[in-house]
Amino acid sequence: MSEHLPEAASDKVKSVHLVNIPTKVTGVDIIESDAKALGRLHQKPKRQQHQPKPEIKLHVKTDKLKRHTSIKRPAVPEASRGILGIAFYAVGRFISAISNVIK
Amino acid sequence: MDHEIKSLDIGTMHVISASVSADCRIRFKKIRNAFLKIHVEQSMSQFLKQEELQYAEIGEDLYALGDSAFKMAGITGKDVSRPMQDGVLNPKEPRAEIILKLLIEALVGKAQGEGAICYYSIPAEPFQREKRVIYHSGIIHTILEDLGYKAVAVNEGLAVIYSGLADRHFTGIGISCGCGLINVCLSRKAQVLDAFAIDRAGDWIDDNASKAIGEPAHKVMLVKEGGLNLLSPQDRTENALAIYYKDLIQYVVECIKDRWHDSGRVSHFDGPVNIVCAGGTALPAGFIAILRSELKKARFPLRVDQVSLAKDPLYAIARGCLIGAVNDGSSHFIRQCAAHRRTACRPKKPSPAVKKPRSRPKARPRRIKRS
Ligand SMILES: Nc1ncnc2c1ncn2[C@@H]1O[C@H](COP(=O)(O)OP(=O)(O)OP(=O)(O)O)[C@@H](O)[C@H]1O
Ligand SMILES: [Mg+2]
Repeated sequence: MSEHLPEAASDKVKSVHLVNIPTKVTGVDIIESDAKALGRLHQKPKRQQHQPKPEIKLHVKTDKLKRHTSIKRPAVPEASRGILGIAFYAVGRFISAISNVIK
Repeated sequence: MDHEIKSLDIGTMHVISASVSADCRIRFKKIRNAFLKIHVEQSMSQFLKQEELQYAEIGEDLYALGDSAFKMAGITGKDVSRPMQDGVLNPKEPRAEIILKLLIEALVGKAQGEGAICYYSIPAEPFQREKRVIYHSGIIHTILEDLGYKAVAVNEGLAVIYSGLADRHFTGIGISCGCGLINVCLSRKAQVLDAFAIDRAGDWIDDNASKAIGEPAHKVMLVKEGGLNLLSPQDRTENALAIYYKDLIQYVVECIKDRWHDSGRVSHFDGPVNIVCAGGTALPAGFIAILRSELKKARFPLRVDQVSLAKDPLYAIARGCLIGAVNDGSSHFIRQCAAHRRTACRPKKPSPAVKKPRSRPKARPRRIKRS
């Protein structure tokens, strides 16, 4: 008897007669498709986790672009690229203005 | 089969096991979760043996177990004892753990080798402050690990969803209507969004109906299990049962409404959801019809599409747990079963003695040229 079970449970079992337990037997088909469906559902998030990150190839010549079919989506979306450009431009202008003042 | 894959639905009234056998069949075993202390006499042990009744000798005491406990209760006029009450181990029974261990061992046996797994059902916590499910689950876990299984607990309501909502991507509401508890689970793609238990179920109906009409509870229970139609009760007892059934169903709908009203959990659903019910208390004819009509009357926080009864409602929880175990236990399981089926169905080659001579392909009729 397990030492984890409470005291009363660890009394000595002298004999057990558990016979004639009603049993029902069926084909495995009653769980097969449902288990498959559950398996598919559990696999999906895993696959998403292991998805390769999109390749970053910003210096690809235009004529080669067509051959690089592995590029599925740009690393930086169009809209944010525009915003980034403006931000960099503004920072550059700011630094040159400050350096002019220092001179 | 690589590993043993088994499941257990451990309920207040029934303990049901399911297992996948080597020839890819599912074997369910069911036993009543009950015992009865018997006067120890030589004649009594003889009687138990002769009648092939289920019993055990523990310490100095003799106990009738399972279905035999009910049989002996009928003969001696006593009430059976229960290892579980209200969905969890019965705190008033010092023998609860050992009896449950014996019943579990009789159903699943000792694990035969490495990697055996057993998924077992546990209720959601009905007594939020007492946290009794933790103890209950801990004891079952220990029993199964002692028998050599990797033990995994599954919420009972989720097991109903595994069993009855596969075609809905395991999304919707599963309700297990048992003996001590009603377990409710809301799931989206097999992820539990909420699970809770209501401490009124089959026993509550029996107790109240028996008090109302002055009949013993076990007699009322027999009437209830003997093919009750809630929409057309035939006598006084059935009428009392139908009244308490309706009250219980209304109470369940109210509880769900209160819990999910104003709750972010239901905001995950844009479309209507399905509800599937299982467990012994959902068995009487008219149960689903009454639930449907109560849902219509209530301002339920979710749009409901279909309300149905799981296939084989008494075994649905064990089946749901087995689906979980198969999904976890062996990635080869489904392939193996498919292979087994192919070999089982492959037509046998005819023996050489009766081998037919290969017939020549028929000659094509010649075209006759017409001149
Ligand atoms: N044919 C039937 N009609 C009505 N009620 C039934 C029938 N068969 C069983 N029951 C009732 O169903 C209950 C047992 O159902 P079930 O086995 O699902 O519960 P359990 O899992 O043992 O309990 P719980 O989940 O609450 O711990 C009992 O109250 C029993 O009287
Ligand atoms: Mg149950």
